[in-house]
Amino acid sequence: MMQAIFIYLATVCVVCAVLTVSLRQPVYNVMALLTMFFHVAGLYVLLNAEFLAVVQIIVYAGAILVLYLFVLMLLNLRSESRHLHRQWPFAVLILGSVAAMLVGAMQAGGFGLPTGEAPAQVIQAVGNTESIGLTLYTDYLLPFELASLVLLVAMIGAIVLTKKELIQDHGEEQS
Amino acid sequence: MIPLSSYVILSAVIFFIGVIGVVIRRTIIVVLLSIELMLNAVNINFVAFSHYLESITGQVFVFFTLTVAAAEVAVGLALLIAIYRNRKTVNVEELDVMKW
Amino acid sequence: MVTYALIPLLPLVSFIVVGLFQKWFRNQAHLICVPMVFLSFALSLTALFDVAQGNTVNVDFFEWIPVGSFNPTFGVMVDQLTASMLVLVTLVSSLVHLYTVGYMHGDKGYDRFFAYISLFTFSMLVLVTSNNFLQLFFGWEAVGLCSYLLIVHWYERKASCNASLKAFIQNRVGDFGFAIGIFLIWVTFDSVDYQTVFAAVPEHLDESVSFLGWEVNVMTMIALLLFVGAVGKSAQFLLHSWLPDAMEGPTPISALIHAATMVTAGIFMVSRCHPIFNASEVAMMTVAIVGGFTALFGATIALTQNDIKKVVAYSTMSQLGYMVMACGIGAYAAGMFHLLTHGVFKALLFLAAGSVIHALAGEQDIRRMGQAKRHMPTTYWTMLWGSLALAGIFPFAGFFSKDEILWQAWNTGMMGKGLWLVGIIVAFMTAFYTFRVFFLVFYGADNMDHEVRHHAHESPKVITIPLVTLAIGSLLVGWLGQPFWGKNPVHEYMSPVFQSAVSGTPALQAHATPLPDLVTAAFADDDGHGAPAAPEAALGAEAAVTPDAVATPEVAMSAEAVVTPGAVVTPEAAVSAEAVVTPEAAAHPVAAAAAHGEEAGHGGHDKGAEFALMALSMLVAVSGIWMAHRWYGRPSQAPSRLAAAYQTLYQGSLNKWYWDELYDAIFTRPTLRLANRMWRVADDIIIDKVLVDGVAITTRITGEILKFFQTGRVQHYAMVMSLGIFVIVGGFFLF
Repeated sequence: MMQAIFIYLATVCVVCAVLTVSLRQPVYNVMALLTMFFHVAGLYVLLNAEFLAVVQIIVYAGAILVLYLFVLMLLNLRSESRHLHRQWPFAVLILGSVAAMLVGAMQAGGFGLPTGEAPAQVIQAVGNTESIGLTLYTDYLLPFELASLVLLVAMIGAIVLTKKELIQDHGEEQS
Repeated sequence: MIPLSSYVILSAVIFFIGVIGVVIRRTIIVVLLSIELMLNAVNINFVAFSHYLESITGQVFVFFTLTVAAAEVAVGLALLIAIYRNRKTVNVEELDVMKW
Repeated sequence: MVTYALIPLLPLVSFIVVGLFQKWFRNQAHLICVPMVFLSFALSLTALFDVAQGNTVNVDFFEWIPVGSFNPTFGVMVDQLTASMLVLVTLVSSLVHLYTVGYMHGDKGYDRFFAYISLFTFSMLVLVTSNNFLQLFFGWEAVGLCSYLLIVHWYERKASCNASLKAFIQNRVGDFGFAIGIFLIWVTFDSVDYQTVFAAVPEHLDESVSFLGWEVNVMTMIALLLFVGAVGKSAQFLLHSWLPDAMEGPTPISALIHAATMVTAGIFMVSRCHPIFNASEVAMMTVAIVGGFTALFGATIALTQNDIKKVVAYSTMSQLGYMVMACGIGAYAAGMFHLLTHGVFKALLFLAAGSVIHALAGEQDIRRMGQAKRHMPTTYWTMLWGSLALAGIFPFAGFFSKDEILWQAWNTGMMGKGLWLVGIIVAFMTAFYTFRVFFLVFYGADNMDHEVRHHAHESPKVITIPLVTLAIGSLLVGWLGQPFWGKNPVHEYMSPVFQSAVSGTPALQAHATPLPDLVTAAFADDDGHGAPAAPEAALGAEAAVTPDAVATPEVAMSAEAVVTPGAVVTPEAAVSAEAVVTPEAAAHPVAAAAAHGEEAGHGGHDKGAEFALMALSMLVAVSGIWMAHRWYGRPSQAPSRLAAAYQTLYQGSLNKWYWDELYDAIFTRPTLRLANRMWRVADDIIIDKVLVDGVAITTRITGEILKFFQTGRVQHYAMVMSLGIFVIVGGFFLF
């Protein structure tokens, strides 16, 4: 059963990923990516990471992709005559063979895994959200705060970059 | 039971699709989407290892990846708008002022 | 112990304060420096008396540069030798500090000058108080540096710059040898600590070291290398020519550094390392010959020089030669004694010469002076006393110390007799040229410029007080080593230093007495009228070189010797022998005997010979003065007639035997030519054109070619990176 679900999810993920990079219209690309994100969330559930699955849908699908769509609508891009770079066959060949080699290597080599302190039962007993929160706010408190700083900087950066007057003022000063 | 290698292989495949996307697409917006693909591939890896290693740390790292992805989208799209405003194009091939 | 550490530190403090806060002091720098150095002098005096009571000190303050087993320390060692040097250095330094207040008044580098002489005093004190070779080397280099800085005090003057460079470079040559000597000491003894090294000397007597393919005795090698350092610092022959040129510096510096203290560092060092020198007959012989030759060499040049400071400078060189000669014949105490007296009266002479120059508005040429007596009576009298001391007239200081050296030389075998002859000749010349200057300046024809004569005046109090102090000193200090009755106080005082570490090295015995056989050695100096003694007697009482002394009961008992029957007992000998055999000597008869060729000589010979020699040297000195008076006391044609008659000799002496020209031709000009060529070829063409410009051009051409690979398109770069990944991953798969 689990196997079947995994195969379904994995297949859809790969297909959607291929569509994301290959479809001509940017809106379709975004839609394909959206589908893929939902299925990745399914994979997370399969891996006992329910909280992350929810976050994946809310943040990625709900926030990030909507932002993409907004921008697409805003710019109203015309579809291009040639949407692929000239080097695409070469790139697909090279990178495809690298991927194939790595996949081969991964199948050949097994993963001998040590067991950690949080097996599935323990997490389930505490609750996935709570155990993540515990770790995040104890061991990873400083990185967590730094992450907020990264977001703040990104926010300010986005504002500065897109604010028309700022750029024009700057340009006038230059000239 | 699904073996760990299945997840890892899946993640590798998605990651390389993302890389190919970055290299071959001419529109910035799809390039950015491809980067999202790559980040998601990494996330799958994190969660899978977290599960099989029975350690919660991997899931915590997904949060940080998520943060970085959000920041990247914000800045990347802002840049996109700024570029479009100045050059009236989002074609990567035409953005080649940074050369001799 | 702490007070001993303060002696060098006080001048350092004044250097730091004045050096750092120059702006605050300007013309008040002496307010700090002078009291500090006087305090240092007071502390040195306490050290002198402390040490006289046998309280020598040797402490390490901290580990300095611990590197593996090489672990030199920074410490203080104060024994009789150090204490006497301390007093000399701080005394002269104090008076020079005081003198400088007047002499350098109004100079724009006044504060700098004070800072540097304080630094110099500090360095010199570190040098003499050091208890290991590395610290000695530190002080050694530091005084060289200060000498350089002070010679170039008037740095706008080309002559000063050249002189300072010359001094620095010639000293470097000596220091190079000195440094290698220290390396060799470290290699041989595994230590640079004085006591450890000196105690270990007997164990390494027969070792040899390979030098340029020759097998050389290691002691000889070390001693010669150390002596190279002494040659440089003490301006001995071959590295002498910097000293006269150093007179370009201000006169206080000439007095302090280039007469009284720094140049004596070489003699001090040789005395300090006497166990090493004693262990090598070859080295001792070299030292003695170089010293004797320098004494003669300097004196011959001094005869004809016309610059007042140059004459004094060459006389310094000559006197340094005397001291080195004394060290070379093993008469360290005599050498040190001459060092002390010379320090006093030569500082006096320099300061007096400076006073003359100061009064005559910078005039240094003695041919343009004369009749200065009535202008400056104090300077006249003090200079007279200094000149008498230098000429060696009783009862001034030079008389005692010079005759001590000559007497020791007389007693040291055939070579000593030769050196004595050189010494007597030099003594005559010294008396002559000293008074040549004196008469030309204060008597003779009045050759001053009108302007100068008009302004000629006695120097201010701050200059004359040091002069008078030193003049009194040069009268009194000689009596410290009076040989007339009882024990010679200087020998008495110094004896612990020169006795302790020497313990019976064969080379020394062979040296002190030319015949190698121990038994005969005991009688070697006695013109052969000694009765054959029993071997035990010879061994036990070598201290008493003559059989007469052996025979006296007191000596025999104190020296645990067997009384030899049939020897002549003379009262004087008994007395003098007793004077020699100090308690330590009784405890270590062999050591005492071996160490003290000089004292043994004292004990053995009757005073008669000594007094006769004294009278002879007095006679020689007086005749030198008389000759100077005949020729220069009033206007006379004799000197110029003589110069015309012996043109070659006169020109040679006037031109310093063309030694500067020789060095110029051998070293300076080839070096300049080489440097010039290096500049044009190596620097200009190879480095500048080929290397530097070449790199730039190559970079540029490469860039011009490579820029076509840069498209400015991100995806091309990403593609290239992908290719890189492909190569790496594929590489893993293939191999």
